[in-house]
Amino acid sequence: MLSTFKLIRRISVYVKKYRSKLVLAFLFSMIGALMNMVVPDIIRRITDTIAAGLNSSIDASAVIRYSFIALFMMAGGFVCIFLQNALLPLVSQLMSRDIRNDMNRKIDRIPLSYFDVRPNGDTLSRVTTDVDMFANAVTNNISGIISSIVTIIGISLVMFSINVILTFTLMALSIVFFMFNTFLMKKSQPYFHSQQHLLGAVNAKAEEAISGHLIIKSFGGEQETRQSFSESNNKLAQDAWHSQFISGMMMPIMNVGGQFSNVAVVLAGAFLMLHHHSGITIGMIVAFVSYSRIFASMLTNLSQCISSLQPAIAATNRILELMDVEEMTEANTPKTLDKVKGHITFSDVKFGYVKDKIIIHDFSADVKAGSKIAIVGPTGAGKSTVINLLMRFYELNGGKILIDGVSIADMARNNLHEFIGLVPQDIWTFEGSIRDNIVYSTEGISDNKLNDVLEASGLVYFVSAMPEGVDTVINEQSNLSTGQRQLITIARAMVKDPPVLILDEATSSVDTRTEKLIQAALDKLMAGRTSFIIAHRLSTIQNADLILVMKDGDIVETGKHDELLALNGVYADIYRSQFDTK
Amino acid sequence: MKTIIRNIRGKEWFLVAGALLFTAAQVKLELLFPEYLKDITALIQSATIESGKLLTLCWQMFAFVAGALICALLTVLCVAISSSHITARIRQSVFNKIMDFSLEEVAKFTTPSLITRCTFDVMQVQMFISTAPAMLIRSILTGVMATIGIWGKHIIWTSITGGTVALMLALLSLLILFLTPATMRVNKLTDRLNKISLEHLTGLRVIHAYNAQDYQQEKFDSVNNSLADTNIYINNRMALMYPIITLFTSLTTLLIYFSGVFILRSSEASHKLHTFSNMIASATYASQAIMAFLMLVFLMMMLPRMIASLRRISEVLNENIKIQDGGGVIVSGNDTGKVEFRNVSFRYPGAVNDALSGITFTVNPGQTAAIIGSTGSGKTSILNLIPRLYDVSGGEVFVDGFNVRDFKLNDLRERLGYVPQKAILFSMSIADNIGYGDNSRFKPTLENIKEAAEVGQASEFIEQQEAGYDTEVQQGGKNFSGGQKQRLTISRAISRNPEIYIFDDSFSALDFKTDKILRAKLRETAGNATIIIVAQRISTIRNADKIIVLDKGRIAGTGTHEELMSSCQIYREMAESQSISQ
Repeated sequence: MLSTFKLIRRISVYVKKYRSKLVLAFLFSMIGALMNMVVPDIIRRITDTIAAGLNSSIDASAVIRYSFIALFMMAGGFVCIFLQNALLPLVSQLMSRDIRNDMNRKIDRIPLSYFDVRPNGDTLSRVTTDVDMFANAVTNNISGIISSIVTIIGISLVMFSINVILTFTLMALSIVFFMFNTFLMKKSQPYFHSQQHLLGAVNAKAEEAISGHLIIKSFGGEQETRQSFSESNNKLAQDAWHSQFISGMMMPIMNVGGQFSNVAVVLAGAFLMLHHHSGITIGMIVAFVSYSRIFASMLTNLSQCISSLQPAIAATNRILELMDVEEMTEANTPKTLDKVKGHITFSDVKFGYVKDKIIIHDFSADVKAGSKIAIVGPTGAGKSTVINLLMRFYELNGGKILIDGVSIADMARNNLHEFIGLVPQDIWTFEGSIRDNIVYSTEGISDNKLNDVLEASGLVYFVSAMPEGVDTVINEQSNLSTGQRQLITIARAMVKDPPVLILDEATSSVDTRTEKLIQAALDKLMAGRTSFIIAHRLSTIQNADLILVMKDGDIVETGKHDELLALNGVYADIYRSQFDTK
Repeated sequence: MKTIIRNIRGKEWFLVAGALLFTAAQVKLELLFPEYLKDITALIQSATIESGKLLTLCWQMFAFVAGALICALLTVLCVAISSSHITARIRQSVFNKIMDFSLEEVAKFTTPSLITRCTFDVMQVQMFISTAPAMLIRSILTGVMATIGIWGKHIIWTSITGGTVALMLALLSLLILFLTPATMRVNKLTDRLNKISLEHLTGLRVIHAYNAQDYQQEKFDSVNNSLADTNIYINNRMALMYPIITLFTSLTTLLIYFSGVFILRSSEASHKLHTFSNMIASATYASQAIMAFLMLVFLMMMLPRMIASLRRISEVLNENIKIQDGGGVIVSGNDTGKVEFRNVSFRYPGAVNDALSGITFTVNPGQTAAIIGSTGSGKTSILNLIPRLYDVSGGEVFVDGFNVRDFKLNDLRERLGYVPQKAILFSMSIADNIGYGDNSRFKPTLENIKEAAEVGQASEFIEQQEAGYDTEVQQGGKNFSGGQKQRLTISRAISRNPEIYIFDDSFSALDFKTDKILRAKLRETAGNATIIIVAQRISTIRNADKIIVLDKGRIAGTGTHEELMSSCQIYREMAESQSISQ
């Protein structure tokens, strides 16, 4: 957590661009508050003028003059407050837009290790909810705090100028009520926490039960689940009314406090009027009644704004936390390659996801351009690690990976990625046309080329059956099967046409018949390219030039199919369990 | 609305009535204030001030204020107690109803939506019922009483107040109506922004690999910009709201005083004092009336969200559950464990085509049957029909020789050990997870649970845990790997000691070796129980007594591995692609 001061300094970077608008907003806010404040005082003068003329004749011209001043003030207040209310949200929206943009760019520069150990929802809520909270705080709370303070100070001055005794009476009472409420709020904190806690428990139970509906049904767990839910729910109901009661009390107490002050002011004024030297007029009392209302409401407003600032500060902290995550290192003066053949060398590679827990020890291998490398191993053996290293998603703890003789650590990541086509294990398509999903960020793809790819990837029949062909928009609802989506990711790599290819379980979700159809396409795709293949089914990789066998994170065996079988180790074990005839 | 009323019980009616009564009393007391103010002004302005009378007035006023406070607090108390209980009851009935849902209803609403309805929507309703009714009564009573109070005073003052209130309400309503489409657009854009951010996070590897950072940024930018623009558009107009309120409140007071001058001028001398105090009271009433109507406006702004939430809740509560208990059957020995499909067809609700048609097969007690076919061929649909998670569209399904429709649902499901494709675990101990479910025939002891884990190949990693079988499973089973979760769910089915095991592709996350050992042990333990397996790998099912090959919802072949290799082309192709030969 950053201190509030530091927080403001950090955020001020975003304020800079809109400084002038912000200053204007504050200016208008002050002028508007002052103008609105004067109105009751003018009305006081009107009342007094009328009261003075009650027994003789009323000075109508004075009343008219005062009315015009009041009208002017009201109109001025209207304009100023409107401008303030328009400007502040404008600034906060523009700022949050900038912050979001920066966060989105930041995500691309944060090492993948950050996201691999965190739920996406965490990052997502920083980009969306937290920024919203920040914007709301700027729009509502900050402006609320400023206008309350301006009004409170201004009103105090005006009131003092009218009558000191009445002002003290009013202030003392307001402050007593205000403190009482603050005390209540403090007292109520534990109730709120316990309510939040119980509510969280109930919601978590609901979520779990609804997600596990299928199991609850098939195992007859309805009764049990219902009971456990009802226990938490009743506990919540028993507890919730405490915090509701306390939070519900605040408003009436502040309201009554306002009325109480009103009565007190009226009475104090009335008694003062009995002493003819006090100089109190009926108009003053009327004005004080208005002021006491404004004063009380501004105090409430101020305390509400300050207390609801807390979550916003926490949200801003979460935003800055993401912004402060250490970025991926790039070489200072990167070597740029225009073209590569795909000759990859692993030289004494050491790596561990956790620094002091090295899992790959001194791995070396020379992969000739155009050869086919397979990575096999049981589930959880860390087969994707090699991919993570080759793509430089993770940094090595020792050794080097070279592409055409250049260490990938000396290249810019973008440059490295130009040469590699990745079909990842997690199928990723997005809401957009099939064309956008396949062509993606590759530039200069003609329709002819796209058609060739559709043909080769076996997508052509499916695409032609879609209502708008290749321009059909696909999304979650469009009922694409996992297999079809996987084909799209394969087609995406085909379009990119890179010298190095990585297929991470690229056909795991395609059924065996379709797999057979596209295997030919994949073979064609792999021809002449350095390809890394991760596969469950050994049948697809028996003819690989090099097989890396992984277990518990490390590469335990390397060699060709026959050599590995002869070793009679891990590979032979897996092979036998898969091709076992009995 | 009916949903809320239906959930108010016994003593809560008293609380609700109490809340309304106390609110009314409070409003009545608060409105006495202007009358007292009137009396006091009259007293002060009169030639001789009787301080004794003033003191009496003073105590009376304080008494009324205190009375108002007590009423307000009692209202809050009644509301807090009743609303938290009513909410708990609504939440429980929503939850219970969801628990009664069959898969069909869950699919119709979707799981995330059901979770939102049971959590967020219920909270919305609570927020509404704990604030709205009291506010509504308060504003209506205040409005009515203030109007009555002002009515007798003077026709001009009455019409001034009426006119300004009407004009202000019209302006505010117009503003809100005018902005509704934009507000809806903001919701849509926020969803879209969420979606794009999530897409960015899930696709990070692909984005890096394809150097598509700018491509994604562009997408994000366009939504982010339109979100900011729309918000600014709304804010610019909403900025009018507060100044309008301030302006009209002040304006009303000013107009009353201004017109007062002329009314006073024309009134008789003896009536002047009375008219003057009436004027001051009218101004106070007017501002109370304005406040009352403002509260109504805010209520109206809350209403649409609340109605939406309530509607979503009642949709759940009013949903007809399609699958209900049958009359019940008494199973006699011979057919225990037999599963039979007779010319079954099935279509998902709302789908255009049958997912299954003409499905006929029999699995005899003690047999192992396998269902194999490409993705989307209807394998899971067949399994869903056995526990009656869905009902057939045509034909009949028999378990233990009886139509599944004749069973009591719990009785039917007690006989089955179902392992779904997705491993679902609950946040309770490992032992409780494995022994999960209501089983009137049999409650597994810890010994049984350990045996089940042994067969399910889970005992090794469970015992490695510090707390062993007491280890808490985190929500969603986050503290276990995919393969471990799958083994736990398999153990859960085993501990149930069912007549029929149903495995829906439950071995996919296991490596070949574990898969093989598990199946061998399972067959041994299962004894005379029937096993039905859906699988992708032929190696998993090749030893089955009966293999059913599905193709596009129809049976393409039935028989043993050897029979199918020679008779069924689809099966042969699958086997060949997986390098299984005879």
